[in-house]
Amino acid sequence: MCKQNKKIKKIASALLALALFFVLVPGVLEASACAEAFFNCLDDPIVSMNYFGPLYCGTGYLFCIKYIGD
Amino acid sequence: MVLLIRTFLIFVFCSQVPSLEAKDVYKIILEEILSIGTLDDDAIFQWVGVNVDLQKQIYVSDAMDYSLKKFDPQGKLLKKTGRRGQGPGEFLAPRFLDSSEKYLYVIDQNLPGIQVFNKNLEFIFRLPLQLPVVDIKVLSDDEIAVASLLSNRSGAIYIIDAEGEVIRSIQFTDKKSPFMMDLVSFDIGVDGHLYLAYTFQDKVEKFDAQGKKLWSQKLLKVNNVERKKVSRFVVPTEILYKDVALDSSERLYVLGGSFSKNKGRDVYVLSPEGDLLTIITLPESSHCIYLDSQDFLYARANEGITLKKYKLHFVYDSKGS
Repeated sequence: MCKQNKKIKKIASALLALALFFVLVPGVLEASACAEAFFNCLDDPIVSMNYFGPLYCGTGYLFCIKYIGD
Repeated sequence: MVLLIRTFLIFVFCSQVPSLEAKDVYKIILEEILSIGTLDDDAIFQWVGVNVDLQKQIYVSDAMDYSLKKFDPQGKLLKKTGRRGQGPGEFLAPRFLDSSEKYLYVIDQNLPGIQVFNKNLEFIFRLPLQLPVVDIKVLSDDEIAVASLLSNRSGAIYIIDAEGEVIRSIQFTDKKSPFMMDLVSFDIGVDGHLYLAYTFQDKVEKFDAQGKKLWSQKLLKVNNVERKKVSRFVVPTEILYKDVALDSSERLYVLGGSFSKNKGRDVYVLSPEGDLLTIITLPESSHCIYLDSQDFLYARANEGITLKKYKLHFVYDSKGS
């Protein structure tokens, strides 16, 4: 009986983790896409030569998370 | 005796008159009255900025086809201008716009300056400005208010002239914040009152024309937002407030972001005194909200393919009745 309860608890925990994964990951991925785009923008040699370049990358990041963040 | 009776009658009369206290908005009901752009047409591909002039013509910046578009009040496309590029009238990433009586002012995320068009969508000039602009409000053709993303000078709304020179600024915080943390969306009322909502902090505030803070509200009870390291910057990852807009009674509409119950859909409506009156929930998530001069609300649908226009029906709660 004790072993059966443990087994049920394990399965329930695994199912919960899976459910959370599918709920949370899309939002995290979208936010990561914006962060990745920000990183790529900062990495651009033309952008890095311009004093305001990183700030334009920042406005792009801001727009990205506003537009697709939810 | 007559005087006594008269006084008594006045007293009785006054006690029967309904309270003359101001009625507060209890609820706002949205009625969709116009929808522009569908999956099956080419009207709009991905609109970003919207503006409506006094003739009720609707102007939209479209990021997908690098254009500025003009629609009539019924949503019929009247004109389109622009293409991809860095020349006059061209765009790399058209974003927000605002208008004066004569001109349209369009921000491009990847190009310095503000492009100025006439109402026929003809390019007139580029307002030179090195500051990267995140929000804009045209006060007149000689005064344009901008919120900017600056690493060393922050916490202010800058008023620039037609030459792109900063003529004054409204400092809304003197506290030095980490990168991006004092970004705001803002609007300015008729008397010059500044209303703003922080993008990454739980603060909605009002300032008078001289920059004196009149009130500050914390609507979502959020103390901190998650920040993440990207290259040499540490940036916030979740938005509290996406946009603000004022109606003709100077009620403030604040579009919530990730921390709202309905992410990107809840619009908090505050009185000019900062009291939360009600919350409207948009049918779909939007990146911005806009209110025209007749208090019609515009918001996004279909991931930016559609622009929706709503009539607001106000339901009032009369205090003391």
